[in-house]
Formats: sequence, C-alpha cells, structure tokens
Amino acid sequence: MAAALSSEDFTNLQLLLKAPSKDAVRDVCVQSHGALNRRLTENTAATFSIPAAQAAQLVQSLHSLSHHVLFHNLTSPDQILAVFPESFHSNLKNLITKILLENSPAWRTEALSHQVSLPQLKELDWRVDLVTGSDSVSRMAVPTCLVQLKMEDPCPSAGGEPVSTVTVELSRESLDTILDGLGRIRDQLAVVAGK
Amino acid sequence: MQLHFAKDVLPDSVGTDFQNLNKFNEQCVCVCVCVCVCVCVCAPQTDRFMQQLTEFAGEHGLSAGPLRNLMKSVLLVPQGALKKNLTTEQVKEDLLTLGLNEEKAAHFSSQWGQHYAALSRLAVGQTLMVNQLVDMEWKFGVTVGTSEIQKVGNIFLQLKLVVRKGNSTENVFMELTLPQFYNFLHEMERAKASSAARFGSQPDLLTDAHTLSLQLTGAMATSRAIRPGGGNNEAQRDANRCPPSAGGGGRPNRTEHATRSAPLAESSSREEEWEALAGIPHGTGPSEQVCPGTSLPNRAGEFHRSWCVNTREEEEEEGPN
Repeated sequence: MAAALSSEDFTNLQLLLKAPSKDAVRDVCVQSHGALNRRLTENTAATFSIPAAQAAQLVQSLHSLSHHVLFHNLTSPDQILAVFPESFHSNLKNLITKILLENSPAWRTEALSHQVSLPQLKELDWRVDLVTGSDSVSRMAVPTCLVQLKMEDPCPSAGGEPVSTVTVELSRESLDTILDGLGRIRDQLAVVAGK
Repeated sequence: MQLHFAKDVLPDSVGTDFQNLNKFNEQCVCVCVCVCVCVCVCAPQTDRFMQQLTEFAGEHGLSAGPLRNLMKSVLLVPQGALKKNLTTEQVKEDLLTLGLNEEKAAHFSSQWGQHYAALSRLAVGQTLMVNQLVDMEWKFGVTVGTSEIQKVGNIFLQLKLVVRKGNSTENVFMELTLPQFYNFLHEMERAKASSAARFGSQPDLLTDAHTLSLQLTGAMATSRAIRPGGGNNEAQRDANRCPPSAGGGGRPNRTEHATRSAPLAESSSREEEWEALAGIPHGTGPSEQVCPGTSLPNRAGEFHRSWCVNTREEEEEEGPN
C-alpha cells in the first residue's frame, strides 16, 4: 500500500549520502521495494556504517517512496523530482530519481502479475478422441474432446496448492456451444473496442 | 438356441416369460412394447418404470410381481439389440426363436425399427463422460486500479465452468487476460476443426468394422497448446495501454511490445483497437473492477440452456408414452 510520504521520510533518505558507492544506493533502493526484513536492515547498517535503528527507518522510507511512485505511476523525471522537498540534496535527488525510473516498469509488471485475481489460466491442452464402444452400445464412432486447463492461484489459501488442474470432457455439441459463446465474447469485445 | 442379441445362454424363465406374453392381447402388447422402448435406456429411472408397470398391471387386472419379472425378460431383447446394433429382421428372428408368436413379434420388431434411431442416440448420449462440462458462464471487464497501482486499465475475462463430477457439479473459476482468451478461442477452434476433419460434420453412430479401423489409425489428434504468454509480458503490454488522465500519470514512453510465444495475428490487431479504449473511471481505492456496463450490450453471458444438450434431450425423450 502506498503510504503518504512525510518530511521524516526525506530526512531518512538523506542517510543515503553515507553510502560508499552509487551501486550501494541502487542496491538498497531495489531491495527495499519488496518485503522488508531484518537481514536487509542489518546489511544496510553494515554497508552504510549507520546504527540499525536508522537503517530500518531508511529502508522503510525507501519502501514508501518506491511504492508511492508506483501507485501514482510517476514516469517522468520531473514528476518524481517534484515529490522531493526543495531543500533535498540535489545530486542525491537525481540519483534516486534515476534509480526509480529504471526499476518502475519491472515493479509495475510484478505488481500486476501479483494482483488480486481468480486463478489464472496458465496452460491449455486438448485431445480429440473417437469413442468406439460403451457398455450400452458396443459399436459406435462418436468424437469427444478432452480439455485440460492448468490454473495458478496467485494468492492461494493457507494449505492450498497454487497450481490446480481441471480436465473436462466435451461432446461435439458442447464444443460447438463453447465456440459460440467464445465467438460472442469476441464480438462483444470488438463492439466495445469500436465505440 | 442361437440368438442375435445375446451370446450367453439365457435362463429358462426368459423363454417362459415370452410364452406368457403370447397370452396378452394385442393392446397389452402394444403398451408393453412402448414401455420397453422408452425404458430400456433409462436404467437409473427404475422408479418410473415400476410406477408405469404398476399402473399397467392395475388397468389390466394383472399382478405387479410376475409382470415385473416378465418385463425384465422382455427388456433383455431391446437392450441387447441396441448394444449389438441389430436390424429389425434380426430382432424379429430372435423373438420368434424365444417363442413369441408371429403377430406380436412383427409388431415388436416394427416398433423397434421405428424408434431405433432415437434410442441409439439416447444410448450414445448416455455414454460415460468423465468430468463432463455442463455449463459455462463468463463476464469481462476492465481492472481500474489496485492497491499497488492507482490506474491500471487491463482487460480481464472471468470464466466459470460447471463440471459434472458423479452426481454433483463442481464450479471452476478462472481468469484470463485478453491474449489468453484469444489463445483459448484459437485452441478450441483447432479442436473443433480436428474433430470435424476426421469425423465429418455428422458423426455416424454405426460404422462397420472396416471403416472403424481406418478411423482408429488417424483417430487420436492431440495438441500441446502454446502456453499463453507469461504474466510479465502481458502485463507490460497492458500497462502500456493505460490511458492518460487529467491529474497525474501520463502515458509511459515505451512503445515496444514484448514478444509472445503465440503469434496470433488476430490478437495484435485487437490490441490496437483496445489502445483506443478511453474513459476508464478513476479508481479511488483498493482493487476495483468495473465492467464498462454502459457501452456493452450484455454485461454477462449466460447460455447454460444450450449446454444441457444431453440431459434435456433425455428428459424430453423420457416423456410418458
């Protein structure tokens, strides 16, 4: 969630001036975007030679900043620069802006792929069989279609499997009806797109 | 005794029952035959069968018990005939062999001839289907925003498949992105083309062994479907379509499209059409999904009526005769 940025956050960000190198700044920015953990705080404290408490605040502020940028879809340098207060160190501001711009597209993609959703269709396989006999009719030639759908749940419930497979059998009529339905969806999509 | 409809030796009671059937008058036999014909494929409907038998027994002053046993014997003939795809003449021959008199055998076999096609269709329709798809419901719309990203603008399609598992049904829910939907459609069309190409537009219920063996050699068509493009690629592409808004974010600068493994010419032109989609309302809070209801002729599609082909047809066919 994107929390609002406060002046305290920017004070914390100034701690980045203690970084040994630009790469260190980049690393901590990228790692802070994800879930925050103690190891990250410890590494940051060690790299920047700052107390753990300050490292924790720095990492939290970076997290807030990167999520703010992502939420509001700030994609131009000016937009991101505008977030910082006037008094903020100019070079650091530019560096952070550059890092955020570089990583935003990847972060956005990742956020979209992990968004709340029903199980996503991942794979679709099918097979057409000819049924040649059954207990009620010993000779026949009836085609039937088996479709296997593999779905992945992005947010599985505790103890639940994220990947589930469903195999469904369709008669010819069912297959025709399904295609009618899908065709209707396609037509409706075209109508909406045309408007 | 050489019979067409059964290879095994029948118990003596069957012969006796058919002899008894000779004693019925014409009308009784007609009704018997009708009951047989409509019941012989309805194995699960024994209650209905019993009810009709009891009524029949009452109307004609017969006792239900012996009548039931007699009917069981009589039913062996149409059931066997259906299984072995017998002709009218063969059925008549068998009835005569079993001891039924000429007149009744002729009547029975002519009824058989008349209803044979419908009965075959019903029997085929009752063929075991594992996880049969009973219904499909869908809706599609636009994701307006999420808790992570204020403005999204992706199209989603949600499907609910109703699958028959034994006596109950199970609902399977899933979500597809637009490219996945086109891929799904494409694969289903291929499956249909595959079954139509091999088996013609109207499947023959009965083929002789020779034709059958020819079909078997080419019968199994399979497909390893192209995986829908990975989530990252689609999301990136969809992200590029985020429309401009009054307040903060403009269009991202990227214009290249991530490559996909499923080169569907159809879908890329559709995506260009979708690029023009505008007027997505602002999302103001956590994940909101809005179906652009005003522009869509139908918000949700539901056509389970056309799905229940097998069950509905059977119900209609089972109507009392």
